[in-house]
Amino acid sequence: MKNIALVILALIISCSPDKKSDQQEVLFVASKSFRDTAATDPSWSKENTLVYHTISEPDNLHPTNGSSAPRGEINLYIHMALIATDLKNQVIVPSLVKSLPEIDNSGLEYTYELREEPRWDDGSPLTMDDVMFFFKAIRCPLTNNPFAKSYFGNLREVRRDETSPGKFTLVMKQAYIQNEYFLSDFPMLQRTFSDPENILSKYTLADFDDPDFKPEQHKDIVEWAAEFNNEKYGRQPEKINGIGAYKVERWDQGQSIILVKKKNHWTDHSSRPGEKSYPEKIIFRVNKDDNSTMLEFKTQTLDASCLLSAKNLMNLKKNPDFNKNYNSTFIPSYHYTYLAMNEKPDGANRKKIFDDVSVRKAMAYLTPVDQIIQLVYGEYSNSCKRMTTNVSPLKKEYDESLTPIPLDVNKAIILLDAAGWKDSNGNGIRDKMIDGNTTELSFDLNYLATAGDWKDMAMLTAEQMLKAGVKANPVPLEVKVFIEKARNHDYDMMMGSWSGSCLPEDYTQLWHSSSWVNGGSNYSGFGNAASDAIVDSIKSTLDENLRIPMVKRLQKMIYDDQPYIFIYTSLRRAILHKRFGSCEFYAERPGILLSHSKLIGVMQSDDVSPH
Amino acid sequence: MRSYLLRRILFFIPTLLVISLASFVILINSPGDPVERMMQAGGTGELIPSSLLKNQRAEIRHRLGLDLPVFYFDIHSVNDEGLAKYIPAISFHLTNQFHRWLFGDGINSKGIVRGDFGSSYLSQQPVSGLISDRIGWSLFFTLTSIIFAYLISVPLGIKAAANKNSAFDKSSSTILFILYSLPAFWVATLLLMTFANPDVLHIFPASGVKPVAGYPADANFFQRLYLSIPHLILPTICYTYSSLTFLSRLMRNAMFEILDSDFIRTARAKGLNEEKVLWKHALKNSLFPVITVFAHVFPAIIGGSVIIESIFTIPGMGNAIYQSITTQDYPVVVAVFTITGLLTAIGYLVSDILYAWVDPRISFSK
Repeated sequence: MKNIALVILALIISCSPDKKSDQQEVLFVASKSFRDTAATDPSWSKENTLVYHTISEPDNLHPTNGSSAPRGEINLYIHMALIATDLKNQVIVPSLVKSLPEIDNSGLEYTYELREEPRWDDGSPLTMDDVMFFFKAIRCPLTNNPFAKSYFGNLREVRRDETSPGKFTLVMKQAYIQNEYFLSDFPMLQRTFSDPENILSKYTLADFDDPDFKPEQHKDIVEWAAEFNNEKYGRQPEKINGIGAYKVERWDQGQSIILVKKKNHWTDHSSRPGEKSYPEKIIFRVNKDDNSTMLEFKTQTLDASCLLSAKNLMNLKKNPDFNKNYNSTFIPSYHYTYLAMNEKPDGANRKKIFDDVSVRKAMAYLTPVDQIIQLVYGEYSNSCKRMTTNVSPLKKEYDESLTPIPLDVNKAIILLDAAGWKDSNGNGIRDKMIDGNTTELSFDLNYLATAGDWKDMAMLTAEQMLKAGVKANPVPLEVKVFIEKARNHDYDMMMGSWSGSCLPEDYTQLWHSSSWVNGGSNYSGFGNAASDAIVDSIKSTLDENLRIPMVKRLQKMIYDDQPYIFIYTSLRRAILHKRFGSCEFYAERPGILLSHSKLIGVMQSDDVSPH
Repeated sequence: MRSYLLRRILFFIPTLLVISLASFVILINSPGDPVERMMQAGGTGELIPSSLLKNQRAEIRHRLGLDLPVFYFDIHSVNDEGLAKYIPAISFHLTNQFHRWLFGDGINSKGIVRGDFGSSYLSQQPVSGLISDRIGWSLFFTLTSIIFAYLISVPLGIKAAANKNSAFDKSSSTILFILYSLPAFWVATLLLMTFANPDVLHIFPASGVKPVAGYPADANFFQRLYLSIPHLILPTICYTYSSLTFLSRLMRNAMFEILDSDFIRTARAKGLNEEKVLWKHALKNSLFPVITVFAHVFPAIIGGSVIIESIFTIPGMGNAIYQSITTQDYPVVVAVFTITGLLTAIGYLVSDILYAWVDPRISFSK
């Protein structure tokens, strides 16, 4: 209840952020909107083209074969999915289907019904033929989409409803929290475009599940898959086919990708509010350099970004011209930064320092989290919230009763003394006899050499720890080495970050002990039989009322064990030119919906009242 | 001359094989795992449920051939009978990564011996296409900057040498020394902040090599060049200034040594004017070091510059190479190494020919 009240209050206030100074934006909300500007400026372009900043190109724009973040972002406008993420309300919503699925009591069957409105570019409607092909194309062992397959692995069967042409049921292998969500934002495929000879109709999902099925022995499927996987379907504009409102006009390698709005697209007359798209063109402009990006905002070359550095956005916000031309803000995201400690060191390559929970807690008392946040976000640090556990404070699963561990050198000293770490030789560094050897409380603090502020953050932490006789040695590492060391547990302490989303989370990858044993992402070695049982229960409990208390129990276990020192949730740096109205920024990726940005002062079709 | 050239060109083949083998071995043994990098979901750190990821690593590894042994051969006896069992024989097997790299997998790639470098692990784009898309801009900037650097540095070096210890020599030396010590990223950022900044001077665009919306569809080459020129000036300055400073110092020192030679003294004693002494007699003889440097220019064509390309958002080879190395995109890296080796060999061949041109005493007959 307290949460709901806070969110409502936050939304009310956030609707008019221009009434107060930006430094006072202390609200931790999942979305933030700005009022349309009353007056336009003569310097503003009248073109209904939105230029969006991106720091890298997508690996490709294939609807299913690819993994990069920019690809997913651009595909949002080219394609549509059966269900989509409502960025504002942080929930899934029906997109190409009439409603969210009806779920049977076992949690294994999910029934959907297709909408009648969606049309492909050739004018043909979306049919069950497309839906059946879509699932088979993703599950076919020869299609080059391991990431998509990961999500679709739990699907056993797609059952058509013979009595109702647009109705179908997904039958899952196991009850799993992501059964309802795995389809969100996965681009739908047109069968007649991607499989004109209807090759996949000869095969079933059961065939693809069968370990004895050898697709290489079926010439037709081999040839079809080779064509489907061909990179031209992810690179040549005329070969990229989607049901969304935009199509790719041009891809200038390393420079930009230009999307152009389709004429008379079916969403222009959609019955659903919020489905209409406004900019005639969206240009994804690549700019890797932060200073150069800042200059492109000064010259109004760029209209929007969510990737400018915090430092440069803070600089720009001091510039009256920038504030006159752009709406901008810092908004929370599901991305968080942490310090992980190796709970299970081998004692040979890595000293047995952090196998003691008291030492880990002492490290938490020695980490200057507030100073780090101040370092990264300066005067906007009030907008940034500390993480206390593994769950974002934006989520309803977040346990508010767990308080952040403050910077307290004295408490750390007490804990370290009690754990037997004392400066016996007077060199200023604590030590302890471990396995017959005098071991100093000195360790490596690994961080990514390429990550912006991490060097300063590591230095700040090391400096603070030294006050308690703890010597952290910051070690910058190249990304390959960094990941390999983490995965092989060849580290003492490391600074890392994870991305998440608003959807329910499976905690296996990060917190199940199996993910430590098998080289997964449980880098710290957290976990025991009790926590593993909770992690397993969480992922198969579909009832939110039962699941949330379990997630809170897991948070408490992690909090008490302190495998990570959670630092902060990153703030998204959101900017949109004021010549575009309906400005709204979101915590969920990509942070902004470009198609909703409506050019101010230009009459659009939905401005005309029927009266 | 012709047989010498043929010999040198034939020598390229084993050289390239050795380069490809060396680069392959280095990459295979470098830390990290390309599959793990691919599983990082495009570097976003996004969490994909591990329970659903069970077979995906294995699937990618199999598709890329990374589940094969790097090399596969065995040593055995020639024969099991008699003394022959003490004679070792080596059998090479084809199911290994290096063989696949050389000769392809029979389905998706033909192997480098047939001119097919395969496809990028990350973008699935054919490596040849990836390189041809990007090499144009690297080539443009490298060649343009070299032409400018030579056009400026040669006269500058000659003038400084001809007027040794003059005010011009001292001031040019100081300026060039300062320029040489400035790092490229600093100069690039300084140029941007000065000439692409509405708060100071807004003369050039801050990023890219063409207008934001690209070229008009019907624009011809010259119209495209005209539209791109404002984008190209600042990066060209960055590409040029360091080689300019280096070359002019090289030219000055070489020319200075030549001007001290007996034959120059003789030329002067004969009463030739200084212009003729400098440009006809001294210049040709002082070009040796400059020609040597020219041999290194060829590989730079494919190398590009990571820093300048990143700052000015140039779609060149530098960034592509950097990204492929950090993501362990083996096909791209080995292709680049091999092409760089080829260009280096060509560079040395060209410089050998130029040596013979400037000095007739050098002969190719032996």
